[in-house]
Amino acid sequence: MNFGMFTDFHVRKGMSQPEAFDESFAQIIEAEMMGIDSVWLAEHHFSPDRSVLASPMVMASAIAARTTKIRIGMAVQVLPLTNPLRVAEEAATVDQISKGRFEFGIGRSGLTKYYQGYNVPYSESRQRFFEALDVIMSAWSKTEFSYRGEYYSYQDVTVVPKPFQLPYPPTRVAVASEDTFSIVGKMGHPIFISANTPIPQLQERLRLYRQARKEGGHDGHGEVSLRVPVYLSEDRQKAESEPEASALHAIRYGAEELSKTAASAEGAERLRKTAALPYEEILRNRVIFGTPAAVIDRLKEFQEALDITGVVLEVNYGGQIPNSQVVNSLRLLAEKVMPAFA
Amino acid sequence: MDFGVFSMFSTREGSSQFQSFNEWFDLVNVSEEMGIDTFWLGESHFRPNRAVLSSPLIGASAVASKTKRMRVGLAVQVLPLANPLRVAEEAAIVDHISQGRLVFGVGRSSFIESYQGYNVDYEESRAMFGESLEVIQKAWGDAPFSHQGEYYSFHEVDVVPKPYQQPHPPIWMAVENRDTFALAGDLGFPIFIRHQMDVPELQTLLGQYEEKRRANAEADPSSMGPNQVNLQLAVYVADTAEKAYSEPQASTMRQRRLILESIGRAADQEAYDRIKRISEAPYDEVLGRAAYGTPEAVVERILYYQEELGITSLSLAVNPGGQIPYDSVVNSIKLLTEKVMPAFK
Repeated sequence: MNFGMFTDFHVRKGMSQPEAFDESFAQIIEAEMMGIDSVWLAEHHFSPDRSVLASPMVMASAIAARTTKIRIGMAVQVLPLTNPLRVAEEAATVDQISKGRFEFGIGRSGLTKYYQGYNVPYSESRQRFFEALDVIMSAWSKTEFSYRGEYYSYQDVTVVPKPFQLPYPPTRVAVASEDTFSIVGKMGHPIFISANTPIPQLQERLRLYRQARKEGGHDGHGEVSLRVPVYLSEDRQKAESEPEASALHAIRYGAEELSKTAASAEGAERLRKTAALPYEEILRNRVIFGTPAAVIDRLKEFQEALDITGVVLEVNYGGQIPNSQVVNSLRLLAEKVMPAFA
Repeated sequence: MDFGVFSMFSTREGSSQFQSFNEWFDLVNVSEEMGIDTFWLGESHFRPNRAVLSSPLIGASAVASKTKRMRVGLAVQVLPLANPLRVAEEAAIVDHISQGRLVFGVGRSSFIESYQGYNVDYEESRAMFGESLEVIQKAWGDAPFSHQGEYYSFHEVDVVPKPYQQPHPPIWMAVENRDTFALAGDLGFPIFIRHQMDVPELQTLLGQYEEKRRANAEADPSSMGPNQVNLQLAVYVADTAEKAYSEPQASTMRQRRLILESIGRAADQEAYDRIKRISEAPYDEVLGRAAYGTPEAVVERILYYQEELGITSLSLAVNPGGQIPYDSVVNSIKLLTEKVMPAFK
């Protein structure tokens, strides 16, 4: 099981932007020293009260330059907002700088706010996504390529550099809607899933993903990473109370802000409904907050139910948890939880 | 005088792309340790036999992370090939990562090959350049901004993060084409020049740049910054004149050949003639536009440029053509920092 730390370079109330960069960067350096396997970077735009991570790619390059072991992933690059030729160049560059530690995580994002800002119609996002992915795969795996699509066209282009990992870095797609599980399964790419979706529903969709993989002629069971908030303390009481305000902040922010620009009615509804749940319910189903032993149990449940190969852990869910507590939680994860899955 | 090293991360024949990155990051460390003031990064697309740095901002992020002191500059980001909103975000992040050491250099490039690859019409490049720069400056401002232009439109966008340097990192502009000197003066930014034309002609063009700057300053005195001109120059320093002449010769001539291969994709007739002339020149004539020599000779050469052109900084190509052995390049940087730079500080 691959243990990854998710970060979005959150901004806490009263925090300056330089402080936001410093704190999250320092946590990543700590995570590498503790032996966490990977760090996953979100992409957020135009949200000064939430995050400074507008370019996970630029940040990935900085992390690659300061670390030697930890794998560096995107979770996720919002592909339809980019020029795929540029992304192919940038990601290959990060892969070279990191000596092959780059993980290319991509998605469409469930928020239309970023599309409005970039002036890209969300209605085009799906087709743009798959075209962009096609372009990037060609750019990486062919010496020279041409492409003619609805949104992107290129003629006789030799992308330089090529990735360090050949033919290309692991390319992992965030999937949420039912049909994308099948489409991405057929392509054979690894996926991210989110613990936002109830387990029975995830099981059904993963069945579709794995079936489509088989139909697409891809060996193996597929790599599936689960994204879920996590918080650890030696004391059960503290494990639940210390991250409570931050978790409720995340849920409230989701219901009040994110739901306004959610791409689907289903997404908006889910965000609003979550806000109505009591904290006990959140603890039971949406997050993994507990002692190391309890966290091990919960992760094993997910492992058994969903056959996941990795976790992308939101170690500062809501972004309001003080740095020292996040670092302590990470330390417990590395020392007490990870060995149980080695 | 600000002494900078310039690189597009050239590739060495027979080396892997990874080795090219590695070697240049080693030279970043060497430059930082030896006291170079600024490390400048260029943008090069689609030419595996030339260079691997297609994303100077990604490179700058790594350089900023590996250093503490040197300024990190773009020389230059080819602005019309990028979405200005994204460039504003990326550059602001690099400015944070470097804690305010970013110098934001922009240009259009004298070759159309990158435009062909990116499927952007070079004919539009000047208009796109101007509009992009406008968008980026608005994006770095305090408040949410809107922009309704020919190429880009944005509505009520609040770019995050804002740059570390306030109000924004220094903006520099490359001028190569003869008619951009006056244009750059109008905009008022510091400029990068190259010794592609004869010195008297460069003096005239720099005069046009300065005249425009002054004219604008009369209208708005606060717009007049100090005169800053950066010369991009090939440099090679060795103990003896003989070594300084022969060691970089093959590599330098290789670079001329590479440029000549691209000449069919020069932006226009002006660029074609200018580039053809310098890329067909014999080695001795090339040396007349470079700074190869003993420390004393290089000091003299830079003094000449300082006096004739009023330059205030240098971005030095320390391995023109990319084939000079690594140790020789390091030795050249060492002599540069120990024996040349002190004469200007």
